[in-house]
Amino acid sequence: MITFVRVIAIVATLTLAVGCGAPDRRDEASGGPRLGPASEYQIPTDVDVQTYFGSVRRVSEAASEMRFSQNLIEHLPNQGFIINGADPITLSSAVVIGRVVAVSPGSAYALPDGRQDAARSVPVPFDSPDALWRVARVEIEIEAWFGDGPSPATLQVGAFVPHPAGLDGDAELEGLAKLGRLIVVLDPDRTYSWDEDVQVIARGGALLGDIDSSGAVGFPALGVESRRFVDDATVDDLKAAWSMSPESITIDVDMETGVLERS
Amino acid sequence: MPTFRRDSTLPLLLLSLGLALSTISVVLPPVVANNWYGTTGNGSPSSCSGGNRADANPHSVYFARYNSEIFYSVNVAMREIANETAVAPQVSSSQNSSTDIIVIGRHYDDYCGRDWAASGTSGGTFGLTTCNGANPSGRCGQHETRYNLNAMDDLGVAFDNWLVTHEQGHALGLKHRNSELGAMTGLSSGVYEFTSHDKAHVNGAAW
Repeated sequence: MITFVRVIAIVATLTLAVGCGAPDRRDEASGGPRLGPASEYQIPTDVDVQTYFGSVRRVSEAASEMRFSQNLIEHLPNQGFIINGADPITLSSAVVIGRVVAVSPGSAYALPDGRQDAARSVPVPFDSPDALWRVARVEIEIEAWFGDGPSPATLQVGAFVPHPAGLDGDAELEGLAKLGRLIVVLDPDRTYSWDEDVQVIARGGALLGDIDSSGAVGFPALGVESRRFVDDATVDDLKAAWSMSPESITIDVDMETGVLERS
Repeated sequence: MPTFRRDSTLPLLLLSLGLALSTISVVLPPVVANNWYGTTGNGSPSSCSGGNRADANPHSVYFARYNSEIFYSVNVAMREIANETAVAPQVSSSQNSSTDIIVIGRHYDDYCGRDWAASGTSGGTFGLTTCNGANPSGRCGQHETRYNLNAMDDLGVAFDNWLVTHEQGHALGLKHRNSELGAMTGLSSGVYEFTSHDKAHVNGAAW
């Protein structure tokens, strides 16, 4: 119990987790937008945008998970995590700030023969009424890139579009197209078999965030967790953290309880 | 037999009472405002739709696909619900439209677009509860609870009990709550009991 309390307490605290004396690995567009603070973020009032974020949030809220990060900064790909003594892992391949320039159908999924106990989905046409969830292809014009290698000018990401079976997800796609500026955290490992050029968004698509008209950022799909996750981070905070070589964060997983403890 | 008479002070008393009650409701937010889904209308067959409160009590549970770990932990969760709440869970030997909870344990890969954990230490999704359909009142008539054996195979009984009670809590209508150790914390707490706050939500709901 004590260890969990410790984790929760730490979760409530901004941790930049930066080291010192590292070369600048950043390769991003000059300037860049102001980001945050999250306490000022306002979710767009557009109905379609709210439909999109609401659909993703409802699924995220109903899931139980193991998450190692405490905030957005820790998702930068220069932050390693050592879990139970294993080789370090990172929680993203890049954190990207950009602007939506196009949204188009990607892929859709259903359960084989409609079997509710299936472990793995099967692809179906994007407009299939059998689709239980879809992935939209979102093209982003990149403003700032926090990842290894030079920043590409554009990037395609897959945006998770959950919705009740039989509906077409049009509202969610409309919402994505209206997003404007956004921030995405790219999954470090997963790929889409239907197009490996389309990057997977981390945490089941929940780490697609919005930048409002004032420049504040929020991750509405995280629900009440959004504010803590952003933790008033700004672009300057991301730049500063990305320029460092932080020590890896060590986390021990209690194999009996699944409780996490940082050391 | 008591007698009543019209009293000019009565409206003022009622107004005062109303003001007092409204003040109380501000000072003491209703428990429903915290981690209770309430009636949301969410639900569609085998969908990725989100949370909704359960519609029925007693609460029938059908094991569609499971192993001994899931069977044990579901029974632990049912005992917790039966002993600590006003809801009476009961095992159903068949699945039909009146089944309230369907239990499914698999080594999940991509269901509902989630990043399902590959092991007990990989990070990712451990479990998910979805609603198969809302009834005319907007409550969920049937939940599917999914358990990721990739994690359950690796982690211990205390984790299994937390995970299963957590998802069963979602299927009752509870949301995450991190301010207190218990079954509904977003990350594993290793504690599979519902908090008094959780129980107040469940017991305060009309069944």
